[in-house]
Amino acid sequence: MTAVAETAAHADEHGHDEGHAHPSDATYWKVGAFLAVLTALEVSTIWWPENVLTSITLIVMMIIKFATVAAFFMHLRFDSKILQNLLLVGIIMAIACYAAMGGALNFWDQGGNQLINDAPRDQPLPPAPTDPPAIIRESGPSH
Amino acid sequence: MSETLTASAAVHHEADDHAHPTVTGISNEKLAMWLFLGTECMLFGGLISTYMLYKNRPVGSGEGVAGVEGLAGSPTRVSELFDIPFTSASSFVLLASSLTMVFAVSSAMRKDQARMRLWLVTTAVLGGVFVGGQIYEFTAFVKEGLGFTSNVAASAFFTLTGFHGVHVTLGILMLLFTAGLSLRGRLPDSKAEAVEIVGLYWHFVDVVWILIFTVVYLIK
Repeated sequence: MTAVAETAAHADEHGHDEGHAHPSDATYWKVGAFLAVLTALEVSTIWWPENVLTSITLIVMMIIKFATVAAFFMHLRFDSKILQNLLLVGIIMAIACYAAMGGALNFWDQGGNQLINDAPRDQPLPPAPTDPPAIIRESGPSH
Repeated sequence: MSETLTASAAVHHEADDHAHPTVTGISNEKLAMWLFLGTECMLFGGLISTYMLYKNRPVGSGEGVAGVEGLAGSPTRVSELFDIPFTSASSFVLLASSLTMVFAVSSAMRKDQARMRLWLVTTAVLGGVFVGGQIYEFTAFVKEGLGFTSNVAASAFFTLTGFHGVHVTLGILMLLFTAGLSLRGRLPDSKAEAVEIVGLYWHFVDVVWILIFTVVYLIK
């Protein structure tokens, strides 16, 4: 066998990931049915009362659906850990980055910084200061 | 001389049909697709966050938007126009397309190219139905007077769902291209992983819709 052919044979052995087993079609049908039921449950929440519990239930169902598709349909459960970590890093970085952005724009406490995002409404902006701050009054003008 | 060249070309062709060995044991193509999907998390994270930030603008009928430069616009909220039963049907269609996609990958791994092509085309058709539904939804919104620049919430909504629609459309093209390659005999069984890589992209588009459907349409 030539060196190139040996390389090709080696690649054939290792080109697909180690321990890369695919689930059977029957498993895919079961996972699909599970996701369909979960989606139907999600849709049913439009008749549920609008409260925090409903929102939390929706988020939990969303996470379960996301994880199920990633684990079974994207084969993350059967693939190398490196791939799981790649997706996790992307998700964690995105959540951290945009959670921080939400904090900077007062999304978490006021639903968004009024100065940037919206017209002032029930909380009018404080009036602009007319007197100079105390520290300037005490020291006097610098020139 | 010419025999040597022919033999060399044959060996190179043989090597081309196989993946190169890598340190990780994962092919470069597959690793690149996963890296790309990791970066896509950042893109869609930004778009979803922007929609969440602006979704309640305007705060009421005409209230809160007047008098501020750049924020004036239609008092209609995007969520007032949602047709949840219609969007739910679209979501089921996209979910079903993920199922047909795994059957395409499964058929490719079993070296059953005819069935693989059938599942790929089925997936593309289901994706087409989803995109058609999105175009219908956008048209209905515009007819109701809510366009891309009507207000900040509408801009954020159309940008988010529009970007997702573009991703689905690109996925459909990739599926049809892969099916076409197989039909012309240019997708040998040794390159079945190409179908899996296209499948990864397709499933990612599906999981992004799982997030959008909940965050944008269902959570009040």
